[in-house]
Amino acid sequence: MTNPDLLVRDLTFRYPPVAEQCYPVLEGASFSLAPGDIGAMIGPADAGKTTLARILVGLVPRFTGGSVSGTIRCRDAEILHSPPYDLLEKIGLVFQDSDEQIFTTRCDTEIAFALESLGLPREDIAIRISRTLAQFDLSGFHGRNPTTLSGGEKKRLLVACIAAIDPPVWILDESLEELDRSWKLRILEYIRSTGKTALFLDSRWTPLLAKRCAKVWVLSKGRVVDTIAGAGLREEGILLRSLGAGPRRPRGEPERFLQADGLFFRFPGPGTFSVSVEKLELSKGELCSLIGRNGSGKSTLGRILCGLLVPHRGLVSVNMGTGSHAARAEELNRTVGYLFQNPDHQIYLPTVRDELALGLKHAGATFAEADRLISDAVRLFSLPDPSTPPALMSYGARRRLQAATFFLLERGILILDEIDSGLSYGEILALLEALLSGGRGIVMITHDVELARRVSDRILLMDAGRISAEFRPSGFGRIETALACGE
Amino acid sequence: MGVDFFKPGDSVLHRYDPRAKLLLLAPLFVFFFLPIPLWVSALYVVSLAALIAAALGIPELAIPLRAIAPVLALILLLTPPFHRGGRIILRVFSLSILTQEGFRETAVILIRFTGISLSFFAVFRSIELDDLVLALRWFGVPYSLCLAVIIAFRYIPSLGVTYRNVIDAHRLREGSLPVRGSRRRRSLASYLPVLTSVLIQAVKGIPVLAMVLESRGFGRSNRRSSYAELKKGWALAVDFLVCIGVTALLLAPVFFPWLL
Repeated sequence: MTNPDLLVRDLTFRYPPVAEQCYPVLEGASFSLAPGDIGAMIGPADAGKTTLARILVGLVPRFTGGSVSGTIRCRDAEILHSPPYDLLEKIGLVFQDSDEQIFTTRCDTEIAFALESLGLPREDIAIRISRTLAQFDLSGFHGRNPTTLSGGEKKRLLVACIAAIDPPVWILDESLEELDRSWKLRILEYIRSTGKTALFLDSRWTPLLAKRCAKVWVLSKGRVVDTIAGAGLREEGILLRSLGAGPRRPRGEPERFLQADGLFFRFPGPGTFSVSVEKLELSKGELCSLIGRNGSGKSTLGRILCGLLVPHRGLVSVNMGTGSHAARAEELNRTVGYLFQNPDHQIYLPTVRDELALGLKHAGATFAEADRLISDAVRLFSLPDPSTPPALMSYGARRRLQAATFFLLERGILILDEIDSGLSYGEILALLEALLSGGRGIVMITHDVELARRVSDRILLMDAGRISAEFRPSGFGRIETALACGE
Repeated sequence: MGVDFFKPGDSVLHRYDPRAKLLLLAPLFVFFFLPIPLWVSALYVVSLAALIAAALGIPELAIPLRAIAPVLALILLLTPPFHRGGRIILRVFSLSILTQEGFRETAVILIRFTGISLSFFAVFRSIELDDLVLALRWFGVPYSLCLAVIIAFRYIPSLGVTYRNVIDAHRLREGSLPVRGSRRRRSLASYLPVLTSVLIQAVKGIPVLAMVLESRGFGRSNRRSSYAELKKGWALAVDFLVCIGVTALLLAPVFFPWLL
């Protein structure tokens, strides 16, 4: 029997106690991957996936503190007794948040940094940079500042960084999230064709993994549960189709709330990207998904609709019940909500209660009324005690708090920018149902076509800054074909 | 100065070795404090401006001049009243506004300040950050310190991006914040939530940055190689000879005043 490339045995980890809370993030976790195997570890937000990924490359508890016990072996290296820089050629990690991992000012130096650390000759570094940039379709990006890349391009650059080092074991923490389907496939194929041993840590099961994964585990309550794709995942509620119908909507006909006509927006600078939308109508009570490749203009359109970006041409009208009228940016700020990908940008007050009360205070709610609405929101969004500081809450809970603040703000339309990122299907459906319960409309920007099909009343496909197709439920079956044509 | 301060190009200024450029900064800085005729200093400033215009483009000249304009205005306003000797050049009724000494002192300070600003602008506008780090390493600056320079230049501008994101996010939550560029003034206290969010993001980023550096091999005991390369051999020697030549030219008026 061959020795595993990655062996984890009885791994238990606790973060240092915060506010007298100290529970194990991982408890007796054991699993292994044979050379060339691809494995997937699926678990909801806050199951400990990122912690596990960082333990596997020696970053935790080195930088976070906490107590760890058990054994982790990567080939001949004892991970728990090795500093991360000595594991460089054995195991590589792609972070969940690209912006956290990118730190140089050019794409080529981003790749070169680790190769310089290894002391490789200059000529070898140059060859590896050119090769990996070409492999991930980033040729010509040598001198480009990585902060100017799209989310998908950043992810590809980080994968290219690992490919250039060429370690035998790859750890990918939610690394498929911001990639469109074609790039998910290409990266999976690259890993398989180069014979790498890889562990994908994801909140959701993607069917693309099904034929390529030798092993699938579920990370639940700190324990690694052995499972197999299909039946086991259904039992654990990881598969979307195991969660029943989409979110329930309040009764009643959708009511048109927002209309965009002849929108045109171009980012400053010569030859830059532009968004152009002839006509778009959004209604209260409707869930409309916006899908498309990386850089197709989904987030830009969302930012125009809520008044964060002002279009060069065209107008956005809102219907406040007294007929439709053209709205300026300030009015759109007050009538259309936009939930950022990073919840920490929108959460900043000392307690959950303060966060929820802020919008109510602006709306002029009385103390008793605010108290009742806050209690309702806490229950609806499964939030912890209102006196809890958000900074101490888990990622999933901070996401729910972010959604709850907008729920109480009573915006007619809510734009959710990749709110599914890092959340399990169960958590996403619960969140959508809670947000729809107020009768508002939702625009969900996502790369997850299966999710969009399951929950949406309408799906808009964006391509090169334009809405290239619109699908109603009867035509949802044609989406894959349309996406394939775009690719 | 940030990540975007470097302006890509292939001019003589770009091709000139960054080590020689950094070395040249010292005599350029000293030059403007030497006891030399005013017209010589002015000639150097004009030459510098011409070099910037030729190598980087005429609009580039506006960047440093716009940045120092408020200071230049203050020098113009405040220097003459403190130097009242010599012939009166400008008088309003019985009040002498500008004297010969005041004019000279104002011109000296203006030329000095403009010359030094243009020198630094020309050098740093044409050195890529990675070349700057290589040059510093060549001068013996420890790699960890050079890395701190890169990270500072990378992260300070990114804090600006975070600040704008947070402002946008808060505007959507409160719905009452002014649109960017609005004339409505807000009290410092109302900015506290925004600054708190930015600070939290920045503080959270510190251990993550340390993680990223070590996961990319920072801290290994082996000798670090370098992807970027600076000039070597004759090309470098020529650039250093030019550096010596320019330094000699700058110092000539002091040691050989009869040349003037």
